[in-house]
Amino acid sequence: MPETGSDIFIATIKNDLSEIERLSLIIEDFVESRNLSIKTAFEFNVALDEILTNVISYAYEDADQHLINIRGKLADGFLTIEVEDDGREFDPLKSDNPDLDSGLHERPIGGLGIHLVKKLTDQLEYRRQDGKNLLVMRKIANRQPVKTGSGKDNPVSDT
Amino acid sequence: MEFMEDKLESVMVVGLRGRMDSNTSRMVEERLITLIDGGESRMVVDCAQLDYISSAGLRVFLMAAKRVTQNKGKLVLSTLNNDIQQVFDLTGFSSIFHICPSREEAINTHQKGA
Repeated sequence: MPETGSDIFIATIKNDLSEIERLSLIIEDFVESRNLSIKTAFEFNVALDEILTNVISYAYEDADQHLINIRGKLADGFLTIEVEDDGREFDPLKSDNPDLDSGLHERPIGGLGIHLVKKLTDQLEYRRQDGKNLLVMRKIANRQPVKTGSGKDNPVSDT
Repeated sequence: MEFMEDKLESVMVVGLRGRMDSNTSRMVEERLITLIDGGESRMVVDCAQLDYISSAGLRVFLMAAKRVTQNKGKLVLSTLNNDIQQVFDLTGFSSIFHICPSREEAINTHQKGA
């Protein structure tokens, strides 16, 4: 088993919404191969989807192709994922809290994305550096629950 | 994104298969609007095979529910998996949607006129 550097992944995506699904598979692979809970992958994928959707939809003032860097690291019991984009300065942590209480008719359409990011991660940091936005998301890395083979006979192939 | 549609008496059941992210939710939006504007007012959206939802998907459900209600109809959701239920819970959507644990119960809510 390689140890050094094995708990890191780096992905680069284009500013196209269809890239979000491709990234989600990378996250799932990483999480599964480290025996982290599948729930961690789902929650990170929603958070990433929300952040990347904002970046891809609103950060760029031109119609050019841009690259967004995603770096993940599993260390000290945390999975940390950084998103770096070269779009206009935007701190998602400064967004207003959405209306979560009103009924169907009054409920505004939209505004829930950043709320979900805050709820689904354990720690968030934003920095503007070198003309880029850097968002750091951190979650406690829970292990996948071990399946107990107790009870029903769980035949082991003897051939 | 795939749609599996079934008309049971007056109830339109739409099964969703796939992901509702910011890219694919548009397809669901178009499909649901076409059905609603085509006169469907008793709707069930079966999420048994829906794997994933982000706020873009929530937005589509909210928009569709508002539109059906304007037409004096009702949209009921069924069989959310645990991940999707979590997203509904975190956003307060669990309290504004009628959500049934099974497709049959969702269909029944229409047939009883409840």
